Amino acid sequence: MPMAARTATSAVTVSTHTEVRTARVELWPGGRSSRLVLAAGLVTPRVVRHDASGAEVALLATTATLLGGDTLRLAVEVGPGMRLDLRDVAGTVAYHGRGLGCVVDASLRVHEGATLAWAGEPLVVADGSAVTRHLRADVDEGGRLLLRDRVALGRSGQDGGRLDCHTALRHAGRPALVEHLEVRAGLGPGALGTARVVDTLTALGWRPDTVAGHAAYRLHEPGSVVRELLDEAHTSGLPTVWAAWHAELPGQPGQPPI
Amino acid sequence: MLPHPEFAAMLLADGRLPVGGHTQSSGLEPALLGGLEPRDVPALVATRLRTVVLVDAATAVVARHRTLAGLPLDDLQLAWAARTPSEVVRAASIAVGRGQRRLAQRLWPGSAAASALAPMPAPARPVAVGAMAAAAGLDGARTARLVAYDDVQSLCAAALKLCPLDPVETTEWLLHAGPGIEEVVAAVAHLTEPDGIPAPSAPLLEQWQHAHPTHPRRLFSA
Amino acid sequence: MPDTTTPDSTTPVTTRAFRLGVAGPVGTGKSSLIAMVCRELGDELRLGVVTNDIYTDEDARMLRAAGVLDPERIRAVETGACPHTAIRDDVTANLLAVEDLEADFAPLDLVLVESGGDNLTATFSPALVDAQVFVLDVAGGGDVVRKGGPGISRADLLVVNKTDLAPHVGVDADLMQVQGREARDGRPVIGLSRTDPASVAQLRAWVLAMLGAHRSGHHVPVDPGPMAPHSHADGGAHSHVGGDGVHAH
Repeated sequence: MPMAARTATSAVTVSTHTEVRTARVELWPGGRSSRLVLAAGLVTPRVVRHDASGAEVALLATTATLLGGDTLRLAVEVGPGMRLDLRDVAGTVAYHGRGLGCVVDASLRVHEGATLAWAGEPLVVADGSAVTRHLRADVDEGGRLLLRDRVALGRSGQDGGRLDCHTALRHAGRPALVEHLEVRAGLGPGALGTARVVDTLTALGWRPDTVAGHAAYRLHEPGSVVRELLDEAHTSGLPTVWAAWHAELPGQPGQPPI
Repeated sequence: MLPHPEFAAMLLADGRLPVGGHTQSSGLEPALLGGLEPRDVPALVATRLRTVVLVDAATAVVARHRTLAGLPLDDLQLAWAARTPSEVVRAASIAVGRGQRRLAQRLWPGSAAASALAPMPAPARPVAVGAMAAAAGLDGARTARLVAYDDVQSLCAAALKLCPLDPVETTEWLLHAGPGIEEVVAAVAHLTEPDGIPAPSAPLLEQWQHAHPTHPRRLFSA
Repeated sequence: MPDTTTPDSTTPVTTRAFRLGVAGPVGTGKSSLIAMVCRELGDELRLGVVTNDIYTDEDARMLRAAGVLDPERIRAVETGACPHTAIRDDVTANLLAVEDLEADFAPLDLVLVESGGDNLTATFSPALVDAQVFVLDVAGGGDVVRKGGPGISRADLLVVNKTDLAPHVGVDADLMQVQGREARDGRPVIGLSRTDPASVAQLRAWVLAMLGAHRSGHHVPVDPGPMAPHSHADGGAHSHVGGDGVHAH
C-alpha cells in the first residue's frame, strides 16, 4: 500500500526511502499451547512470557529513533480467546526530519473473546519533526482492548514538532472512536491549552468501572476513554486508571506493565 | 412546494427557532467555567470552526444527502457518535436534535425528512438539521453554512448573558467568523458518505463540556 | 389551527399527564406551592415536576431535599438565562423534559412545571401546559395585583401567597384578593398560607377539579386545548373555568 501518498500532508514530504517492513505480533490458539507469530520491523518483538492461553511481548526499537522518511509499521492480531499483553520497552522520539515527515502505522485486531492490553510509552515529537500516526483497531464482539497512548510535544526545552494522530477504533464492525488529534504548538484555545502531553487510556469492548477522580467519556459503543492534558508527563494520574481497568481484563496477566 | 432556498436558510438560521437552542451556549459557558479568558472568546470560535463545527457541519451535509436519497440515517448517527466521545456532549446535541426532529415533523409532515427521522427518536442535532435542510430545499453548502452560523450565533448570544459585553461587539464577532465559516462550507459541502466525515478533535473543549453538568451554577445546558 | 396544542406524535396519548404550570415573580413561593401540592396529593396522584431556574437546578435540589417526591421524578431544565423564553417562545426543552417524565414513569396523572422566577409578564404557552397558576405574595406589596399583567388577569388560578405575613408587611391580604377577582373577571383567586389549612384545602380542591376537567375533556374528540383563556384562529377568546367551579367543555 502506498502509505507515503496516503499520508502526505501539504507541509511535509513523506518518502519511504527505507524499506518498510511490518513488525508483527500474532497470537493464535493452537491445541494445548498457543502459537506466537513474530516479525521484526522498525521495532522488534521480544517474548517475555508465553503459555497456553496468553503471552506477554515487549516491543524493542531496532533503531533508537524515528527519522525523516521512516515508516514504522506494526500489525498486532490476537486470535479468539487469547490474551496478549504488549508493552513498549521505551518511548519513541521522532527527530528533526530535515524536511521529511515520518509515519507510524499501527493496526490492531482483536478477535472474539480475545484480549489485548498495550501499555504504550510516549511518542515524543521533537523540533522539526512531522509525524503522521495511524492507529486502527478492530475489536470483535466479546473482545477487549485496553490501550494507553501517550504523545508529547518536544523534548525538554523545545516547542516540539507536529503530530497528526488519526485513530479509528471499531467494535463489532461499528465505528466506536474516530479522531484526528492534532498536536503542535500554537493551536487556539480549547485545543490543548498549555499542555505538552496528551495521555489517553481507552477501553473498548466493555464498559469499565469508573475510577473516582478520573472523568471518563462513555463511548456509544461499549468502551470508555480517560484523557489527561498535561504539562509534565510524570504528573499523569492514568496509571491508577490503568491498574483498575487492567484488573478487569479476563485471563492471567503478567505483571501490570506500567 | 419548496420555499426559496435563501428564505429557507434564513428561517432555519433564526436563533428563535423553537428547537431549544437557547438553552445552549455552543460550549462557551463550559469554557468560561473551565478558565477561558473572555478576551479569548473570538479565538475559541476559530477553534470550534476548525474542529467540532467541522464534524457537525459534515454530518448535517451527509444527513441531507442521505435523506434525499431515501437512505437510513443510523450509520450516520454512529459515525457522528464515534467522533463525539463524551456522552455529555452527545446528550446535549441530542436534546436539540429532538427539538429539530419535532419541528421538522410539524413543518414538513410526510416529507423524506419526516420519514428519515421517524425511526430515530433521539437524533443528533446535525443529523436532524441535515434532514430538515433536505425538507427545506437547502443544498449542501447552505446546510453546512447553517450549522456553522448557528453554532457561532448561539455562542455570541450566550456571551451576552455570560460576559459584560456590548451587543454590537458580539455581532462583530459573528461577522468576522464569516471567512472561517466559509472554510467549513468548502471543506464539507460535497460529502456524501459517513466514513468521509472529518474527525478533528479539540481535547480541552471536550473536557470542559464533559465537566459541565458537575458545575452547580450554570445558565446553559451545554 | 386545530393541532397547535396536540401532543407530539412521539408521545403516545395514553401516557400524557395533566400539565400544570406555575409562574410568578421570584421569591413568591412557587417552589413551596409545588412542594405543598406534592405533599397534599402525592398519595393519591402520580406526580412529576419540572423546574426551570436561573442557575440550573437550585429549585429542583430544594424540592428533592424537601423529600416530598421521589427525586427521580423531579427534573431541572436549563433555560440559558431566558426563563420567559423557555415557557413561552420556545418550550422545546421543557416539553421534552415533561414527555421524558411521562414516559419514564408512565402513567403520570399530573406534571407540574415551575417557571424560573420572572416578571409579571411571564405566562406559559398553551403548547407546554394545560393550565397555569400565577403566584404573587403579600410581601411583594398590595399594588402588584392592580398593576396587572397577563398572568394576574388570565391565569387559570391566581394565588396570593403567604397571607400569614400580611400584618407584618402592612398589606391587606383580603383586599389583594378582592382586587384580584376584579382584575380577573371573577376567575378564581386563592389567598394561601401554609399555616391556614382551609386555604391549603382550597388549593388541593382546585387542582383536583382541574385534573377532572382535563380528563373529561379528553373524551371530546377535538383538540383538548389549553385550559387557559386563549385566542383562536377565528379571533374569539374564551375561558374554561368559572368563578367558583370548574366546567369541562
